[in-house]
Amino acid sequence: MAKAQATSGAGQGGFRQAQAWLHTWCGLWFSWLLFAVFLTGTLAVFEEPITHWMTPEHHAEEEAALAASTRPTASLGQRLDWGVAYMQKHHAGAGMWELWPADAKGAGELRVFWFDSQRQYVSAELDTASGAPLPAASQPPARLTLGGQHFVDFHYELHAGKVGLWIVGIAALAMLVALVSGVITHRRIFKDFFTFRPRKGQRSWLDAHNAVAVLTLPFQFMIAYTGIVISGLTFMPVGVVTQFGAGMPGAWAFQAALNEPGKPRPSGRPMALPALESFALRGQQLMGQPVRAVVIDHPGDAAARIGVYGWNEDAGAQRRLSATSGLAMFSAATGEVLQLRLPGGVDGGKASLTQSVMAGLHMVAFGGLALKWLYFLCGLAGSAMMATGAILFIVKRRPRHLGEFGGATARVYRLIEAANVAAIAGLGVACIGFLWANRLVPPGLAQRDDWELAMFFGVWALALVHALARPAAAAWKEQLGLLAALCLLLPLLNALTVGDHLGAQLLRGDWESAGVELFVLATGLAAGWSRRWMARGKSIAGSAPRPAASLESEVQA
Amino acid sequence: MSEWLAGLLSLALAFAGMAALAFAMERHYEQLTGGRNRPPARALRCLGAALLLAALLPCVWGWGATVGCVAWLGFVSAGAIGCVAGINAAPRWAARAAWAFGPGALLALAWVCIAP
Amino acid sequence: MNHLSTAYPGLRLLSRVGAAVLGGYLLASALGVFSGALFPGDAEAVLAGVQLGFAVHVAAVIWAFSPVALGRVWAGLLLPAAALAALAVLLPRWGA
Repeated sequence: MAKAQATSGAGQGGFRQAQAWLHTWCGLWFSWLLFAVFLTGTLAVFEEPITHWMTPEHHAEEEAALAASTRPTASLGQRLDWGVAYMQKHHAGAGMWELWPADAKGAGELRVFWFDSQRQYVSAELDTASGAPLPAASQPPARLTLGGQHFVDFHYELHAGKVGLWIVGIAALAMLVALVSGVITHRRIFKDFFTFRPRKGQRSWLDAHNAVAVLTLPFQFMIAYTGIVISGLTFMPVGVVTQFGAGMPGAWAFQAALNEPGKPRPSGRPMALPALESFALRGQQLMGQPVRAVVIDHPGDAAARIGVYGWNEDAGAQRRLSATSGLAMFSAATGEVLQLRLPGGVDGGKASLTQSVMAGLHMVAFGGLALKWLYFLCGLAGSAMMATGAILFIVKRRPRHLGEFGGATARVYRLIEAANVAAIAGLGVACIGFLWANRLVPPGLAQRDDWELAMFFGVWALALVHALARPAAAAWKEQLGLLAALCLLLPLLNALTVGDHLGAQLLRGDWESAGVELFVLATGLAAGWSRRWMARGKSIAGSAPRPAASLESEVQA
Repeated sequence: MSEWLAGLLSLALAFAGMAALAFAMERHYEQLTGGRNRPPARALRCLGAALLLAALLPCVWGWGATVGCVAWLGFVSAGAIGCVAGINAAPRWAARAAWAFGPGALLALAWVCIAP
Repeated sequence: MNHLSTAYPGLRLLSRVGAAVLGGYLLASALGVFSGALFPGDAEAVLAGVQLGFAVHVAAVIWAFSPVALGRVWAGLLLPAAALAALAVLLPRWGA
């Protein structure tokens, strides 16, 4: 055993051997957290369809809005005038007015935003028929839910704010380390490119791990790196602090140096705000996009600025990696163009453009449905990479552990096995449990979105307790069985609680809901198949581990 | 070119290209033929590389240059995954599929180029 | 020094992890600070330094776990970090 320790350990042996050690342990300790981050990120690709499925009462509203958009509605100019009139009457002293006159087709809501006396960002909706303010939504939505946003929030910050963001960031860096060390360790990366030998135990798990990882390797590197860089300034603020100062003032100075040619200070001379329609139309023409928002800095002052922002719904938006919208900034007094940013462009230079492209690459707003499905497939592959890696660790070492933790090794392995079950199968159960909660928690209940989230975390915690209490093989079978049952019964649950079912969804062309249910069914079948395969004996958990030394002595005796 | 068509063509070419690269290796050629003949490695590798490169064309046509390159990498990965599954499950069918998809997609691509 | 190299393997592992994580972070951050100092007031340079910094951090961790003696790992990460930081402070003074 001492010999085993001397030749395999941190920084021991040859370069490849040392990297293999790094890959094993860096990979293992982060595998459970990374699997959760990766799986929820994969689901987040289809955030909107998931939200759509989770808000069935909203469908009628959506259809009504669609019908309403075909009726004649107030023109852009009229909407802008009403917005200005409202702001003039109620918030004339505000330093910034923000008007969202219409959607990309010139219809839809009319909203205005400003910063109130407590510096809170607030809004009001105006009636598109009269310009009068509408009362704030007196009733909350019929079924208050986080929807698909839950998966997004969990993915990048674990629903834990800054601390969660840091944890995910550290995990993402560990993923990059695992990827690099994995490639270094994988000696026959080209020879084994297409190799998969089923039904050979540890060999098969290694082949599966290699296949999902190597075949999607460009994606894995890209998604991890871009994910970190998006929050890069949060993780590495020292450069900003030394050059621009610390805290909020430093951050503002940095943003100013990057973006704005300089927000003008109010001149103190009053000047009536000119009619906005001509500015909006000029902006549309310069940007090549329909108007999304008109932002007025220092309204009523001679130094007022009018910024016109565009909707990213032009034909080119799908073909751009950078997701920034167009912007045309005018001087209210002279009408000259102060700044023009074409769609996809950035206010700064190359580094800013790189930042925007990296963010765009990570969040795949481009390329339409095909790109979303490609990212989804690669995301599932990445999740499988982490799951197979964690399982491979146990499959390889259970028969003869190497005493990495001395006398406690058997107990540590037990914990690792429980973590595997809870992190992989258990997370699956928690995710489908979240959808079950959406249908089971009464729609009118106050703060029901918190209840749904509590179900997600509660089910996951129970899965961990279950995995610690039961022997590993049984835990796998039971949790996979539960996952299969919950998935396969979801359409039935939907029919019983909301009265909607897969057939009806397909008939009315509701591909978002149908897609969610079909994928859930497929997952249920996969989980069921996995459980049967496990029950047949070829298991990923075996008998209690024995130390390697005792096996050797048996062989020599 | 519509995104659907671009995606289908790219995926078909990527699958065929990856299959060619796979069968250029003795290990997988043996899965296919069962015998001991050596694969025409050089020819298959050239063919595979060419098909993979060809898969880039519908991507750029369908999505433009930048997004097209990202889409191409995605389709190449998807094609490779399809190959690993196909070759190890049913190597002869995988080869037949590659023979259908490869030339079929190339013909479709040519037709789209030539037709107005 | 032989007895040190085999004693306390747990501490040595902790030290190596510390060097990789802390030393790597310091080196990556120092690069950001240095690139900012090279082009004072240029926010783009700082941003680029941050974007490249993560690659440096990953490389540092990989190197820290290669067969290199522990002392060399710490020195190999901290000394360049200190040098970059020192240059970042001195460059403006030298009238760059």
